[in-house]
Amino acid sequence: MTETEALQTTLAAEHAAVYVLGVLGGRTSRSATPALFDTVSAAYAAHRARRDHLVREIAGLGSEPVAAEAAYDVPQPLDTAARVERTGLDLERSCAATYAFLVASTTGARRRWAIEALNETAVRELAFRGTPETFPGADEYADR
Amino acid sequence: MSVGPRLPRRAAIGLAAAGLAAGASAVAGCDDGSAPASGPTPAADPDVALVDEVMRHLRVAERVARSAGEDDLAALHRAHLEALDGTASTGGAQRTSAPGVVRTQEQKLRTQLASAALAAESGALARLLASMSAAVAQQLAKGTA
Repeated sequence: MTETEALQTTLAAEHAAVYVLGVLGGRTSRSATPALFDTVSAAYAAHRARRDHLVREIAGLGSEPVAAEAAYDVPQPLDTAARVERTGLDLERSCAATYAFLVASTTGARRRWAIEALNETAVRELAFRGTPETFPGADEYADR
Repeated sequence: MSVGPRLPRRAAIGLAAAGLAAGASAVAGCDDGSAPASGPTPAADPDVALVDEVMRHLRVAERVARSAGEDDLAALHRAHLEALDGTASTGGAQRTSAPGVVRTQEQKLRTQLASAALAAESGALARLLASMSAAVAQQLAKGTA
């Protein structure tokens, strides 16, 4: 897989993340659950920034950035704060795996960026009540 | 927990073994009594030295965490050492490190792991080291370290 293909795969994941976080934001109350609202809002902003960076990076390589789907499957129901949190956590874990994949598929400045993205995504898991892992984004090592 | 074949230390050992096997085949197939022709020497795996350096950093961090009574953190570093085929240094667990020392050590380790991930020739090793740096980042964010 080329670096461009790996970046496209990561961009596709970020398109989905931005969509899902938008839905989570719509199911989160600023007044009833302010901490969760802030967490979702911060995650949404972070993933949008990652998405935009990936779009610029891929375009800079002379390729057409993959477009977002019209819609994505979002786990249902999202009728409690706990379910919103769980969905956010699953999303961040999935993104951690994607960024670990990007680390393996890139070199130089793009790998440096992927390493930082993996670190930040792993830390954001904790805001969604995740617990520290032994190998964020690389679960298979924990299973050995 | 054990090391997969993708890791450089094992890969280097595998490469060496393959070289030995190739040499043995050459000898076995040499029935004219002449010495086997010397082939190209396999290049050393540059990631072997990198992994050795990372394991040194992990052993230091494990010792500091253990001496501060941070057992979960020490266990994390031992798990990371095992993934690289290494073991923790043995020694007493006297409580000598202050919490501030542990945090400083962990911040340093996170940077060292991220730098090693950036430097790794092997993409698989880079992924593993980046994951380790993320694990340390989680511990720092949680406030364990």
